[in-house]
Amino acid sequence: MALTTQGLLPQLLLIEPDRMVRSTVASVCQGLDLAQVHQAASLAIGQQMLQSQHMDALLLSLAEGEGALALIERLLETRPDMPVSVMTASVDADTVQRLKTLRIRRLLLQPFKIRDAVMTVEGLCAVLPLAATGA
Amino acid sequence: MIAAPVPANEDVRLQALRELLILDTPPEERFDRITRFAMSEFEMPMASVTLVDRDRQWAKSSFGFEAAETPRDLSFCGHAILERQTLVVTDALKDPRFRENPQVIGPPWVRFYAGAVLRMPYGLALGALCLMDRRPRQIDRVDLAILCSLRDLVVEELVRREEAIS
Repeated sequence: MALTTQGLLPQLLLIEPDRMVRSTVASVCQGLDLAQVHQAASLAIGQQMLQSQHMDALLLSLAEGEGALALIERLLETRPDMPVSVMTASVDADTVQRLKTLRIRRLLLQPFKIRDAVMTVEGLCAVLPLAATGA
Repeated sequence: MIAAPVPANEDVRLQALRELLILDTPPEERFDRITRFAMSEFEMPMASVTLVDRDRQWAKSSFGFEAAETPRDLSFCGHAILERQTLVVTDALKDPRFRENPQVIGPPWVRFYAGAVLRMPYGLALGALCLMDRRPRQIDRVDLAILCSLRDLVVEELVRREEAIS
């Protein structure tokens, strides 16, 4: 059986509706051994994955609006140290304030480059404790 | 200028390409959106999904330049399909394979080229997803990984087409 590094990489959940963005970010992060990226096209699927699998970090789109913010709030109630970054096409002052309160690591404003999303994943994984990074 | 050598498996490769029934078909959004995405991601003035036929390279999707096909002996992608890794030409004027190429010393004035091979699951290289610029450029490992991921999406579409017509 071939040895892989996948089991040693941080486990990151990516919730993003755009298939091209989602699959490209996931593929690049895995190809560069940054993270094992689990993909969800919607909040509902992402919520299920968070309940059934251990994730070390989260990168999610705010495309589903209030639901996305509510998911982050619920998640951080039980996992306050989990690093989270978000992607959005637009954002208002109230939302920025909520994101700051939630101590979101980074806000990526669309249109962004895949490279920016990959660097965001790298940043999320860099703040994880060593046990989660396989080091 | 050095014309691209013909691969040892050329007959089988051409048969696989022809069986896709894709040559000389109209543009399709599923390929065009990947090409446009690549242009935008890398801020390139030219990009294409190119297939290498017996005597020509033909673009299923292209943005930023006019010609839908080019003689194979002038083709960059003809060289790319011989590579295991992505072919990167940082400055065509300094590369003996391309410095006298009419596409380099004339329109569309290609100086930079990166071509990720469209290799089907059974190993045959049919073409490339390529990026071109009119100035020399560098490309790093993150860019290469992104280009290869987009290339994989093109191959997925080719496989889907193959399954649909078989």
